[in-house]
Amino acid sequence: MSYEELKAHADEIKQLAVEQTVNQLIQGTYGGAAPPIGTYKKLAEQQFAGTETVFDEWIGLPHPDLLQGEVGTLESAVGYLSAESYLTDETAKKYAGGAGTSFNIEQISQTSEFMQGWQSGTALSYANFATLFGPVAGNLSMCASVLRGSQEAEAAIWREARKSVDDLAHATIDALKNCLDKNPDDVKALLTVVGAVSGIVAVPFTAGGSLAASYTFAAIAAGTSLGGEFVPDAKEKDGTIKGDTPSEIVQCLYDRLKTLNEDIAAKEQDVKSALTQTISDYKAALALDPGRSPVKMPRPTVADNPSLGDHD
Amino acid sequence: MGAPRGIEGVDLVELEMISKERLPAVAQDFTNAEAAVHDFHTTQFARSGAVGDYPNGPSAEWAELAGLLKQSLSQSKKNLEDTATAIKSFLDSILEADAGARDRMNKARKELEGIEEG
Repeated sequence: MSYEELKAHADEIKQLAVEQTVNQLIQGTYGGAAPPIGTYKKLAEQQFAGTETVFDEWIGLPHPDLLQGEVGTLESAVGYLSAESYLTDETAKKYAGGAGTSFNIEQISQTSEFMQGWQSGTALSYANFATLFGPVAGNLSMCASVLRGSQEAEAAIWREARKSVDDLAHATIDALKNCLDKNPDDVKALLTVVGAVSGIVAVPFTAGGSLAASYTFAAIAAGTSLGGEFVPDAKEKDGTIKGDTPSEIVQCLYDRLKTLNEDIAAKEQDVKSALTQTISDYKAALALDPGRSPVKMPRPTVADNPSLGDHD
Repeated sequence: MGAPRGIEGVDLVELEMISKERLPAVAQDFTNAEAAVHDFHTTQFARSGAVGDYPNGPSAEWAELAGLLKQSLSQSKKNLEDTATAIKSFLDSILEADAGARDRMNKARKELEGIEEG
């Protein structure tokens, strides 16, 4: 059984709940005058009407493998813009992805010195552009890494959500199968989705050159490239399925699903908050003039006036 | 002001490298980065049931930030391309105005290639 068989799990849970309820009713009337089994079954069917839809809301969850697959594409964007050597903040470096500094970006920065040998405002403008190129590229890379982190967080959330809901289905089935034992064990499960996003860290824009550095990116420590291997949160929730009757067991399942859903919503809200914060800071940074803005690449004036003047 | 004359060959080679190699290469990187962000499908955050932040999770925020980044990348790419074109035009004007410039540039290029090979 697996997540893809949730609908079948729900059908089995209903069937077991009805069967075990009938069995309990039969045991309860042992030796006495009992109504026909059909009557018990009808009562049980009524009691668990709708249980076959218990997982309906959970069947069409986002696919973690598809989400994770796109992380690689975003990783390439981070790589093309990689300029770690220009980042001045250690936390920013940690979340930059470890790709170092791209050769092409390094080459642009090196042209600054060359341009300083020319006698014109356009050459000076170009030199300023080349000096700021690495830091601004690094910030754009950081922005791409926020997008990648969000993607990884969503992938991790749904990977764990699918596992948790499937674990709950199995635990419920096991609990129902054993509920007529004299001392049935609780069937333990853990709701680990709460650990899918291990933290959101405010990372400052790099303070390169004369760039303003009063804005932050909300780096998301989720997934493998930022936060290492997935580590369940220390506050992971108890997903144990327990109950003395099929009714209590099925109710416990509904309660666990509610908790799981709340955890998922909270973690997605964390991701949304990180993105919203970054959007706000990014827009504020964009409002600054080129040469001051941490995310706006200055346009060399030579682009509109093709001369660098004379050389020293 | 006309094109300058007497620019040393090594400086002309540098102008050529900046305009034909370095700026275009990084402009292509920005194009690739923009495409990589653009290719992501935010519909993958969608879910059919009322689970989590139903129905699309942080899709709208993700798309907005991606849009801002793509805008920056696109503008930067255009600046890089325009700058490359302008410097190439400046170099061409020198080569046209200064009869000995092309020879000095070719000679300097060979010397530089020799240094790299050595």
